[in-house]
Amino acid sequence: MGAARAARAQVTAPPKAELFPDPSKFAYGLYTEGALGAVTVLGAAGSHLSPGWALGLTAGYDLTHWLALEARGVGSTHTTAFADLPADGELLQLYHLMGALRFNIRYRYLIVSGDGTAGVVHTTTNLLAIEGLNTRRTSLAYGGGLGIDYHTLSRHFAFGVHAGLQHIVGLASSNALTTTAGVRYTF
Amino acid sequence: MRAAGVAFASALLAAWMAAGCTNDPSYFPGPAALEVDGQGTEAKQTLQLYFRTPDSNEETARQNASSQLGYEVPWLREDRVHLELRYTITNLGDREASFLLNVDGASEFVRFDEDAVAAAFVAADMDAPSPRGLFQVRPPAQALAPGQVLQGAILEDDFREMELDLDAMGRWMAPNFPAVLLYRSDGTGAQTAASNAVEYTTTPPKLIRPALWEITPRFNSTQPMRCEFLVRVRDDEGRLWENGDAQLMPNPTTYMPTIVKM
Repeated sequence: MGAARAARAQVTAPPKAELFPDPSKFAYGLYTEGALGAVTVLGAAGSHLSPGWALGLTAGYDLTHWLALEARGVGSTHTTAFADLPADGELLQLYHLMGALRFNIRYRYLIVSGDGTAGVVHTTTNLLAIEGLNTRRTSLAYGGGLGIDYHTLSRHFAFGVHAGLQHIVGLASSNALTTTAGVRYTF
Repeated sequence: MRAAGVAFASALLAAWMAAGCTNDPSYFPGPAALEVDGQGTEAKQTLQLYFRTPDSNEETARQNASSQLGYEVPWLREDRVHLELRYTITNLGDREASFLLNVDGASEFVRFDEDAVAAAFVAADMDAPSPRGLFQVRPPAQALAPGQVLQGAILEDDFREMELDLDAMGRWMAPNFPAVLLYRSDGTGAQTAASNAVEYTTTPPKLIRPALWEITPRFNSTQPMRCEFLVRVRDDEGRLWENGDAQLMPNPTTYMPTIVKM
């Protein structure tokens, strides 16, 4: 039996801090998103429609890491305001059905996005037409928005907030400001 | 994890669709505001609601139901077409005053016109009893001050009552029409002891009542006043007229009371 030999080791560089979770492993491609928030109508129709709570649903697909295509639906409920008229105080809904092109900038767990949208906005009753604010219940609309998302430890889930402004051509050229907070699941 | 994603997407879709499943009403504005000068002349407007005619399948179903029940089942059913009238009354005068707002109307079978009722009593050399309108809005306890605006509504339940009363009088020959108009039923088709609903003494059980398709508000006051109105229609089965549909043009019989001279 010989004498025990001394162990030798050499540290050449400190180990790199590992990102956990690794953003490169986040799910990517088809996604759906649910959102809650509010729609505020601005402009000529704005003084006749109260801000209303909104429920949104989005289905999208990441074409690249920085570009996605989306189909969005947002429904909101509003109360009419026509002082001293029988149409005052009635409920109506606005449904936004939009296509969107979304540009993403990703930094670690954060995604900052901007989007352009086009589609239609449908009013559920003819009340605004009676008061001369629209001639058709379905109108073209277009606009854009900004958002920021935070990716969770799960590779599928992200939370985010989004604000968008739509110009509704047939609603006395009014605008709809949509502000929502949502959760996204990427398959 | 993919299953969780599908479940997530399905739940979102279901929530969105559930939120969107509303029975969207349509609104019919009055042809013009009812305006009175306070000199005693009543103002009235007749508003006809636009409905479509039934298609062949719907008409067959209606006729089958009529054969089964033994009476003509209406196309515009009270349980499928729900009406509400919203009004705004403005006192344009310089003194406080109350008002009178009555509503007459017509189903596809019968029209109630209080002028015709009054004329029948005049012809019989008798005073017409009160009330005469199919429905009377109860004025507020306090008279309207100059410039004051009052908003109100004749609710769906009130219209259901009107529809029962009109059908009971017009098709089922309910006697003593002032009592029919005065007593309220419970609005569900069942007689209640409290209401002593005289309509049900002549109508068949589970009567399918016709909805009103024509509404005539009548307005008066001792001061200049204006009444604006709007009718809201909830249409459960898509019977409102739309572009391209054949429009329903009923020809109801005007109700005439049976007058018995004592």
